[in-house]
Amino acid sequence: MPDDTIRPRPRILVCEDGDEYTERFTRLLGRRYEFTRATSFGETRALLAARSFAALILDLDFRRTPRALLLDEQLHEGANEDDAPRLAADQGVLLLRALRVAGVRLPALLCADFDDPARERLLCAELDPLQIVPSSEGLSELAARLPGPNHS
Amino acid sequence: MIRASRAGVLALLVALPLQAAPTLQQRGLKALRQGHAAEAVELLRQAAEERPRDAAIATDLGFALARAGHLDQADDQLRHAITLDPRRFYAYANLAALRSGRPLDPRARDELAALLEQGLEIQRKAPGSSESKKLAQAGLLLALADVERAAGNLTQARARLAQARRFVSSPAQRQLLSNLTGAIDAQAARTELRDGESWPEPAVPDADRRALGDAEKLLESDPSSAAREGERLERKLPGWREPLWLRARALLSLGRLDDAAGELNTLLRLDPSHARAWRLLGETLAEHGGQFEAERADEALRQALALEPAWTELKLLRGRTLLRRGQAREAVAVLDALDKELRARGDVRGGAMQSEVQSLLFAARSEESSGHTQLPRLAEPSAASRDLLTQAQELLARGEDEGAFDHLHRALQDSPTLLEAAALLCVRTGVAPDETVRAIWNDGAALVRLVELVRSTAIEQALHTSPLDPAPEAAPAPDGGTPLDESSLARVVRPWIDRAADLGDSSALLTRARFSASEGKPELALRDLTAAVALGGNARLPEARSLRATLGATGESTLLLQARGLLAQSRTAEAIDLLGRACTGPGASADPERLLTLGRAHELMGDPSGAIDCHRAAIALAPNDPRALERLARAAGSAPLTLLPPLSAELERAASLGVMAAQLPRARLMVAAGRADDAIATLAEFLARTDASEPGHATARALQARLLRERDAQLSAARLRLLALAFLVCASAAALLLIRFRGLTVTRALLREPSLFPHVAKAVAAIRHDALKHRASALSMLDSAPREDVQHALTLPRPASQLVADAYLAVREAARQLGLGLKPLAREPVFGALSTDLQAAEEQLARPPGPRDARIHRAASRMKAHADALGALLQLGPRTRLDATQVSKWLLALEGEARALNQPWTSPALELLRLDLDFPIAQGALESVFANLVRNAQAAAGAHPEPRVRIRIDEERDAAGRRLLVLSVADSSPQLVSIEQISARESGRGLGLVRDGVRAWQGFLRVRPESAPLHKSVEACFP
Repeated sequence: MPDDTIRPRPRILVCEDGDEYTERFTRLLGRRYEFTRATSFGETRALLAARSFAALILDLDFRRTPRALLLDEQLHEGANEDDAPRLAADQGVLLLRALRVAGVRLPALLCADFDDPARERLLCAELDPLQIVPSSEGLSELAARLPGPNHS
Repeated sequence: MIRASRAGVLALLVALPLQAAPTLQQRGLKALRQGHAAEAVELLRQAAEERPRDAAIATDLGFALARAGHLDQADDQLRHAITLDPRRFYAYANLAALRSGRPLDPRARDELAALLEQGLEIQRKAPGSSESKKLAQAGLLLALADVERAAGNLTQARARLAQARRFVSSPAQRQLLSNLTGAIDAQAARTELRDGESWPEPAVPDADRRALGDAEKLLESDPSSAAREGERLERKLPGWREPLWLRARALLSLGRLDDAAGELNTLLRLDPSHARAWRLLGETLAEHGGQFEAERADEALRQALALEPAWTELKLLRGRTLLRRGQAREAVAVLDALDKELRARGDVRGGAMQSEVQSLLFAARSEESSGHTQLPRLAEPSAASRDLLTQAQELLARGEDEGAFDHLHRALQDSPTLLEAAALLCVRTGVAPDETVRAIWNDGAALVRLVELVRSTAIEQALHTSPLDPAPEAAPAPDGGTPLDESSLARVVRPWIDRAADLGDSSALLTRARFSASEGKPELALRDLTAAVALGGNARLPEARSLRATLGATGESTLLLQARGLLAQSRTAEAIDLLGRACTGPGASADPERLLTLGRAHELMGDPSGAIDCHRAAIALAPNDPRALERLARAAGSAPLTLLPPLSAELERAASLGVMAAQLPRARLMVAAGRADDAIATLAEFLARTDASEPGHATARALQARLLRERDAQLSAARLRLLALAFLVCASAAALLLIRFRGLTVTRALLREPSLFPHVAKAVAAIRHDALKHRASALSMLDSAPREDVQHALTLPRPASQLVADAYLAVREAARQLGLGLKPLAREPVFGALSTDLQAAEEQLARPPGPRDARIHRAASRMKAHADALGALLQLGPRTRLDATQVSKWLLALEGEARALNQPWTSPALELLRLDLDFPIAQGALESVFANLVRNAQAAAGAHPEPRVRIRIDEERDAAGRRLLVLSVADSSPQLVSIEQISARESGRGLGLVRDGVRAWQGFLRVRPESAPLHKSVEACFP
């Protein structure tokens, strides 16, 4: 007989500045995963503390997030207002780095087109377990990178 | 006979009594009479030298020269004699006699006739005794008659003889008259033969036929040889026509017109139905002959047309000839009929012939109206003369003959045309009153009237003589005459009848025919009967038929001969009457030959419908007679088109039997049926297998030319249409190519204008984020997620394809501002291909699932390729290598600039940490950033003691791992500057330019503090 028992779906935490990822993932992958959205580092930490997740999916660009909520690692000594767009543009990396520093070891998928293999290698090595997902990749491929439904 | 007549004239001259003359002339003439011509010439030449103005000596010398055989000198001498004294008829007569013995060309004959006419006129007006004038006039008229005879104008010759008969008095002239009469009768009899049956041809061996065929081939290239061969064959096989025909044409080619005409005459004697020979003879005489030949030319043309009415162009020639002869009325008749025929036909020939016919008709009508003169009516006898006649009759009744004759003579002196008086005198005295005969000599009707009066008077006189009262011994008339008995009467009136008949009086012709019949001359009788029928119309027909029946003539063939004669005289209507009119129905003839002749007559009348009926009737009787089929075909060739369709079967049969004439009407039918190509081929065959003398040849040539012109025009039009179509196709292809290849791809635009790169990079980023990452990635879920969810992801809030289009539109606009034209989106290989795939997926998602979902899978599978293509565009951004050489070069320029402006300059320290750094920015932009950073540092440092400037070029990675190329310029000025201050600077100068340039190339500025002696650095960073 088939196993009709409803098993809990793996929960995936999606960090983005809007809701496009979450909404899309839920609509298209919602039968297999449960997606939860976080829009800043603080909210991410809170959700991770409150519940368990199977993986993280991070957007790279957080342009719509208020400047005050952006992580700033003092990328350079002369950082100023002129750096704000650049700070938002790479926020996904900063956020993951902060999580790793905080001890979060969940597998992470970073949706980004770096066009720079050296940079990818550096970041993957530093922020492991991390996979870079380019924009050309379909959702089915992205889902394949996530832990399976049987994953606890 | 000719020799006899010439000898007669000469004898006459020699016999003339000699007047007192110088010794030399007398001696010369004596020597001549003794037959010593050479001696006579010598003596007369000496005499002429003594008296060079003596016309008599000049004439005698000419005669002697002729006798001596010096014909050319004789001719010259006699003409000289005429010049010396144009009144002397001997010179004329001698000249005529001389020339009549030599072959004369038409012009020479015309000249001689004119000369004799001139002499005759001079004699009429010249003073002198009646006898000598009579002698001269008779001599000249006899000479003229001989010339007319030689030219073949027998009617005119007879008329001249009749005139001469009135003046002939000497025995020599009577003999000459008799000789000439015999010669003319004999020639007329020979002429009659031409109208008879053809003479049989000898059997021709095959070798000779082949020889003739070979000679025919030489006709154009070597007519001399052809003529020789023709002559050889002609001699070998007398009576064979073909060599004659060949030789005639060959001689014509050689310009030997008289010889050619002679050959044709011989041929026509043998074969009077040789239509082409008649035609050639007529054309030759009409074209090259003089006035004297005009009559023969017309006769030949008439004969030709009677045999072949379809020779339209010959009718035109005949009209022309008649007009030239001054026979305007006849010309009008011929041309008018031709005009009607051409109009009825209407379709085949061009307007050239018709316009010539019109102009000739105009000329003929003008001449007819202006030049036609009626014969002067005979003067009415006076009342006095009638009184004298009455008195004479009374005197005769009383037996006072002498007084009666005196009254009659007086009456006739007063009115020579008082014919009753003349007849009475003639019957009673046996002598015709000369003044009356002269007065009515040119009036045929009056002559006939005189004959009738003489005859009735004679009957009346006979009735008054009672048989019981025997006539007294015929008392001699006062002038020596005696009353006429019947035979004498016939002898007296015969010249008048001849004259009237020659003048064309039908009664006289009929009467003469009776005479000829009674004299046992049926041929002459038949000829006059024919002429009588022709001239007398229906009224004379029963009488003529009745008399013809008494001639023992040969039935049908004679009838046909008569009919042909009538046709040859253009008496078509009479010919039709003679033949019985009907071709179909109860009264129709059962003789095909007769029906064909009737058909020809209808053709000549310009009645093609009637002609066709007759020819078809003939064919019905003789279905396989090629002559009948040919006749029908020729009639159809010139008939109106509307008459042709019912003839199709006959024409096809004719063509199958090799009747070439059928090809022309067949071709016309083909044209009417729209089968122009078939018609052209048919006409080509017709023209190739017939010569120009074939009826309709010219028509066929004109029709063929017209059809070829029309076909060429159609082909040209088709070619033009094809060209136009090809042009349109080419133009469309060119337009398509232009549209397809119009504008630049983004790749080419980047290579041509690097400053477009920032716009492209921005568009690529937007597409990656909005279209690919957030929308197109859903396509891979088609098989594992609800279709509407995939569709929702791809198209909402805006379709992914539209996002691509918007991004590209921005790039295109930026390119346009840079002076570049990009391709339309659909044909741009990177953006366009992506947009197309997305659009295809969007459209397919809007449809129910099905096999065409493969389009979605294909689009999804190509997304990575699209993304790679977009990424490749980013690799096309400009790269400017900033090494020591480049930096030094720029610094030198800046130093020179500062020094030129007397501005402080501090040699900067240079730190190039790597030598192969390529900045992702155009060289000009980088130079601008560099120069302004340096100027700013120089200015700031220069304002303080111990100025320092340092330039450093380096590479680093930021906290996010991003690679940065850094151009850093530090100075020793303690005055600080912040990013905010730089952002606030106005554009277009100093650090404002630096700021704008860096941002434009996706870079950013940063300000850093530096350790002493430097204070700060401003850095341009490019990811």
